[in-house]
Amino acid sequence: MVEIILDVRDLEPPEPYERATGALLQLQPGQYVRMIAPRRPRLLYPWLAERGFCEDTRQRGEDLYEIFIWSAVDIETGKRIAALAHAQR
Amino acid sequence: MPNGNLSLQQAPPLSVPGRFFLTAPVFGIAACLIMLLFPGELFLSRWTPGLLAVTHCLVLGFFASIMLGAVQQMLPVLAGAPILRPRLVAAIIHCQWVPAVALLVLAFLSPAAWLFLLALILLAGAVLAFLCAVVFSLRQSDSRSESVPGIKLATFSLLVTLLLGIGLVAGYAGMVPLWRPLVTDLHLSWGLLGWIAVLIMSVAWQVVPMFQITPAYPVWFRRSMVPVTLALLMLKSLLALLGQGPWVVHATTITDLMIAAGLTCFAVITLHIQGRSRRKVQDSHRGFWRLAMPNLIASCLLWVLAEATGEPLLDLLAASAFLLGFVMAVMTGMLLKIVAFLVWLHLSAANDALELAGKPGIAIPKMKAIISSRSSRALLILLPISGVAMLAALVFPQYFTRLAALLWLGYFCLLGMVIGRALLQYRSIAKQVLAAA
Repeated sequence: MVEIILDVRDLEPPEPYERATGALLQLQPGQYVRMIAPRRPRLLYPWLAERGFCEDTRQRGEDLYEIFIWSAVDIETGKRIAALAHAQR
Repeated sequence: MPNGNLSLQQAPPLSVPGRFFLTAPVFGIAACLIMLLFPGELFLSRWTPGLLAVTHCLVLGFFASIMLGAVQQMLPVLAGAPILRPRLVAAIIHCQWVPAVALLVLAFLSPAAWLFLLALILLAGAVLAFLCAVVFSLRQSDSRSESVPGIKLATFSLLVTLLLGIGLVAGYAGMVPLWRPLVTDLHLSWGLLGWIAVLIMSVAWQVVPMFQITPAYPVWFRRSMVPVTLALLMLKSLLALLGQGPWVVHATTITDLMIAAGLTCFAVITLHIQGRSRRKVQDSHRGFWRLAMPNLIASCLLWVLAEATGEPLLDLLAASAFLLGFVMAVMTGMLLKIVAFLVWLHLSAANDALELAGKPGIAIPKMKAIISSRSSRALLILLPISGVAMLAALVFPQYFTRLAALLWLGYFCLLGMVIGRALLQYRSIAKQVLAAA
C-alpha cells in the first residue's frame, strides 16, 4: 500500500482541488492519497463520488483535517485505510 | 458526519451574481459624473442634494449591488441551501433595483414627490424579493458555518435600514414630516454598521484564513463580535428615541465608543493574523484587506473625534474613510477574487461534465489568468491615491473635487473593464465547451 501525501494547508482555493484531482487521476492500484487540509474540501467530494473514489475524512484539530482517498474498486486498500484511520483516531 | 458537499451544479449560474457585479461600476461612474457636474456645492454640508445623490449612488448602486449579487452566490455555498429558481429571483431583484437606485439618485438631484415615491416602491420591491429569497434559503439550511448567523443579522439590519429609509423617502415626498437628523442618523448607523460592517466581518471569518492562509480569528472574537455590535446598535437606537437628556447623550457617546472600539479590534486582529500568514507570496487580495484595515481604524478615530468636537467636517471625513477606504478596499479585493473564482468554478463544472461524458476536456485558465495580477495591482495603487484625493476634496473642495472625481472615474472604469473582460472570457470558453459537447 503506497501513500501519496498531499499537504495543501498553505494553498488557497482552488489549488487544493486542482492538486487533488491531478493526483487522483494518476492513482494506481494499491495507492491512496492522504490529503492534509485546514478545512473539509467540500468542492472535492462530489468530484470523488462521480469518479468512483471513496474518502474518509478525519478532523485532527480545530483547523486540521486528514482526508484519505482511494479507488472504490480497490477494496483491499479501502480496508487497510479504514484500519489505519481508525488507529490514528 | 455529513461533509457538507458543495456541488458544482448547486452553484447558481454566473449570470446571477454577474449582472449585479457589472452594474456596480456603472453606478460608481455615475457618482463621479455627479461630482463633476456639481463640484461647487457638493460638500457644503451632509444634506446637499449632490452629496446625497453621490452617497446613494455609491452605497446602493455600487456596494449594495455587489453585496446583493455576492449573497445570492454565497448562500448555496456557505449555507448549503440554494435559492429556488435563482435566475428568475435575480432578474426580479435586478430589474427593480437598477431603476430604483437611478430614480432615487435623480430624485435627490431634482426633488419631485413622484420620483421619490416611484423609487421607494421599486426599492421596497427589490429588497423584499431579496429578503424573501434569503429567508427561504436560510430556513432550509442546516449549515453550521460561522458566517450564517452573521448573514442573518446583516439581513435583519438591511430590513431596518430599508424601513428607516422608507420613512425618510416618505418625508422627502412630503407625505410625513422629515425626521432629520434623528432618523437619518439611525438609517446611516444601521446601514453602515449593521448591514455593511456586520456582513464584511461575517464573511471575513471564513475568507481571510481561506484565501490569505492566515490563522483563524480567535473563537471568542468571531462568536461575540457580530451579536455585540448588533446589541450596541439596538441600544444606540433606543437611546436616540429617548431624547436629548444629559445622561442619554453620555450613554450614546459610550455606546458609540464601544462600537468604534469593537471595529478597531476587528481591524487590529485582521492585521495581526495577516502578519502571521503562512503564505509569503504577496497578492492583491491581501493587499486590499491590508489597505482596508488602517482606513477602518482612521474612520473610527475620526468618528470619535467628530462626536467629541461636534465638527461636521470630521463626520464627513469619517464616513469617507469608512466607505471609500475600508469598504471600497474590501469590496474590490473580494469582487476580484470572487469573479475569478466563479469563472474558474463554472468552467471547471462544464469541463467535468465533458470528461464524464467521455469527451476530451478543454484547458481551464488559472484564476490568475482570469484576472491578472497587473490589473489588480493597478487598482490597488489607484485606490489609496483616489481616497486621499477625496479627503483633500472634503477639506479644500474648491481645489480637489474635480481631481478626486476624475481619479475615481478612472478607478471605476478600470474595475468595470477588469470584471467585464473576465466575464467575456468566461462566455467565450463556455461557448467552446458547448461546441465540444
